[in-house]
Amino acid sequence: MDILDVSFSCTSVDAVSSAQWDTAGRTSGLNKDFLSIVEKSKVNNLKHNYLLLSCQNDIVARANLYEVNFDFSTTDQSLKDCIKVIKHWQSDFMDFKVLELGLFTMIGDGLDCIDERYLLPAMEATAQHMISQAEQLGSDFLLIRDIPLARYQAMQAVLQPLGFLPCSGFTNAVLYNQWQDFEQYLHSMKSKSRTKAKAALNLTEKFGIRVQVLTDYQHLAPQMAALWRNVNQSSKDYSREQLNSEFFALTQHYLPQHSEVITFEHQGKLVGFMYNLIGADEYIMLDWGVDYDFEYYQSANLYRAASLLSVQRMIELGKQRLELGITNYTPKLFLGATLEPKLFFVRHRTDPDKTEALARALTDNIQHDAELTIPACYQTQDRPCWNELQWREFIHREIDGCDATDAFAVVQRFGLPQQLKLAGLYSYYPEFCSGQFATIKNSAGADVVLLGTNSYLGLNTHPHVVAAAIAAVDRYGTGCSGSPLLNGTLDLHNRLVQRITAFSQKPAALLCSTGYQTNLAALSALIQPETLVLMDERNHRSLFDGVALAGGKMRVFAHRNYTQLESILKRSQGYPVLVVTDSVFSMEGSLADLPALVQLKQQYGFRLFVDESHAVGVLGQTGAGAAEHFGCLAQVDVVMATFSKSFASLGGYIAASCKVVNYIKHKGAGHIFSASMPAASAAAALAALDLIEQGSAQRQQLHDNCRYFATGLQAIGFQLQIPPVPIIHLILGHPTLTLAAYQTLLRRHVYVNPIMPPAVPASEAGFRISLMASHRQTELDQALAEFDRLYQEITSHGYSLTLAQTE
Amino acid sequence: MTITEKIIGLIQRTAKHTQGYAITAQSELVNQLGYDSLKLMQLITLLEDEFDLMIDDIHIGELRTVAHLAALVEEETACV
Repeated sequence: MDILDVSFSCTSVDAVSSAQWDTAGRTSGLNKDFLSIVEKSKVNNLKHNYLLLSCQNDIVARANLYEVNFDFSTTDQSLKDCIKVIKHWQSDFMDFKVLELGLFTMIGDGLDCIDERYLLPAMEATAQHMISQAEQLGSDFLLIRDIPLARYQAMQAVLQPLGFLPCSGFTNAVLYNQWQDFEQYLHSMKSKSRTKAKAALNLTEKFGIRVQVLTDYQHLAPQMAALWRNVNQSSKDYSREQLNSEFFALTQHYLPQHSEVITFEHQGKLVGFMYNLIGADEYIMLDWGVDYDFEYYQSANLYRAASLLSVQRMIELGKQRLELGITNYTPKLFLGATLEPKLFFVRHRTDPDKTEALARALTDNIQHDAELTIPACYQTQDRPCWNELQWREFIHREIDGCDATDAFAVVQRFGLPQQLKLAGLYSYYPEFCSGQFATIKNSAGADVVLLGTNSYLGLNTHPHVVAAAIAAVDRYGTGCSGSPLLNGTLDLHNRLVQRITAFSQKPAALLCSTGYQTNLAALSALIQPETLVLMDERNHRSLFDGVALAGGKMRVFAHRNYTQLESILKRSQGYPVLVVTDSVFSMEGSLADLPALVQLKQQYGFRLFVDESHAVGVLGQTGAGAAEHFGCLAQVDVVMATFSKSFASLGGYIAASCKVVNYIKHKGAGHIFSASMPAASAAAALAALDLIEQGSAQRQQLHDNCRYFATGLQAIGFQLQIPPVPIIHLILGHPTLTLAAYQTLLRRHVYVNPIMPPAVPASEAGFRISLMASHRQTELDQALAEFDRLYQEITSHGYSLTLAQTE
Repeated sequence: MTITEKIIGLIQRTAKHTQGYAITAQSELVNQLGYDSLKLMQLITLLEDEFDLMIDDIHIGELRTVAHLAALVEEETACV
């Protein structure tokens, strides 16, 4: 391969002569005149860098680099309703300084050469120059645009060793000329389309619109810029160019023979235009502007007319193809255009994780699924046509950098945390530096109001509980180093079992070391291959995992939809059925209708397993949970709960009949094959139980706090119900908005839990606010003031919370 | 209404990604329509409600497209 060097580099086209620059390549889009327009009109305040590349002292290639602020959030359509408020909180959200190799304002090669054989060495030298240039400029990313698929593999071989990764670029629409004249083109259309096309061209007769093709249009530049801004501002698709009046004026100055404008005038006023470039082989439809207030805007299809007239001009001028550009594909497909996907290569200046995160984000966001087709040039014998899934899979696989048969291929592919970090939204594993009081200390030492703990009664910092844990460590040491079945049972564990048995109003109980494990141990033991398990769809993950581990047959019913449950029961006669439900659903703070379940149980004769983790200590006369609250504890076959919430410790328990407990104690793998609860945890749970049993006043305070806070949120304007338990699900309706709002609240010293898919559907993403008995009114008021501010910010930036919260 | 049409109706009520797609018999449940194991189980329950049948679990792992679901429902209803 030839070795090329960057022999000349400048930041203005004035520094290089036309004679030198224009003979260094073949693509007219890179000629000095074209580049001058972009530079002189100062669009987007680009920082330019023009390169000439030499091979043994002969100039053989040229490259167009520029640094631009690229707001990648514009490529993600799902953000369109909430981007304004996210930007209010985080003005630089997904906005990066990008050093690009390409053509600003149009699709095409940013690098070309006098002979194809220089292309790859020219790309290598240019990419190396970009890396050092990005260091000097402090650019965040390097981006090489618009690589055609046919060249992908060769480019990849050059660029991947330099740290670039491929990703989807924008699909380009092209219409290839195969007609003698425009009439023939119209005849080639299907009859329905032809009728539409002819109707669209009938502007003068129908609407009195004057249609002209102007090569002298400089005087229209200010009006063109204004109409172009109309389109740009209302664009639903990606758009970042900020064209101005100078841009349109300069094009005529620099490209008198190579540009023209199709204008639509009504009563002497410009109401629409299509600005086009004329290349050596191609006719390029570049910029569109229209007056949306024009009285016939709705009825006269000016865009269709302008694009048809562009086809006509391409044919008249005898060009090989019409370049229709990116986005807004439907009207281009109407013309008969071919859609050709392009690839980008990206690289972060310093961080390979960010390179990968951006490559994956662009690959997922930049293409519109329905618009992607793979051209014949990249089809292979074993893969004659690709759909969008195969296209994405192809690119992700290239980014993975490992074989599909690698056992860790899925690990390579997992990129969500890196993508959130790139967006500045990674919110998991926040670090706190104090116990969980009503406020917690952040790493800067400031007090943060804690509205995101499951320590509902605030006992994990209670002196009685803390003292009991310390005393237990003094007496028993730190761990039990063995199964409860063998050496892992202390007198302390047995005392806890006795107390829990009485507390749960069941004949027997057993302990496990975590709540998650308790459900796994119990369900995997109780469920047999023939058992039919019926689950509420919002049950906790540990319940689903327990069922999966057991391998029984499972069906889910919609959340608290007992009519659907009954229809399943009706057609499941003869199956041994176990119904499993949370009593309090931890994400949304809703309550299972246990009396309704008990009634069905009496009718259909199934077994009932209830996870009371979020209810114990909180509901019921003695704090035994929701079943006690509803007066149906005796009808529940198995009660499960955890010590890690109101009990302020760690571990879990099952309370049930002696037979059931005895079975799980000897068959429940999660119970037997795991070391028992550490003494400190068992002692803390025992001490917490003392307080729970005496704690009706605390429970009352907890419910009062919840009512106070929920009422305060309603008064601000949030749509929510007063929940039956101290968990408030505040729906924001969008995962990215939720994370941005969460971080905003955290900066303002309020901690809530963001809840996201898969825990809830995306439309229910929002906050899970949990109250504690130990919150004082001043802390709640401080938090409410921040929620008020948040509400005003969200609604004043055009996001409809009402819509999100009532959908 | 055919079985496939009924199934597509149920999918429109439950799928994660339905925008931008015309759901057809060839639509892929996981890759295109965004079903995960839980969503798929919800769909199975709805199918069983709609067609009043119990689908054998051993078939669930083989479901990839809407057409597979339709074939399964046809097979199960034929057995009744």
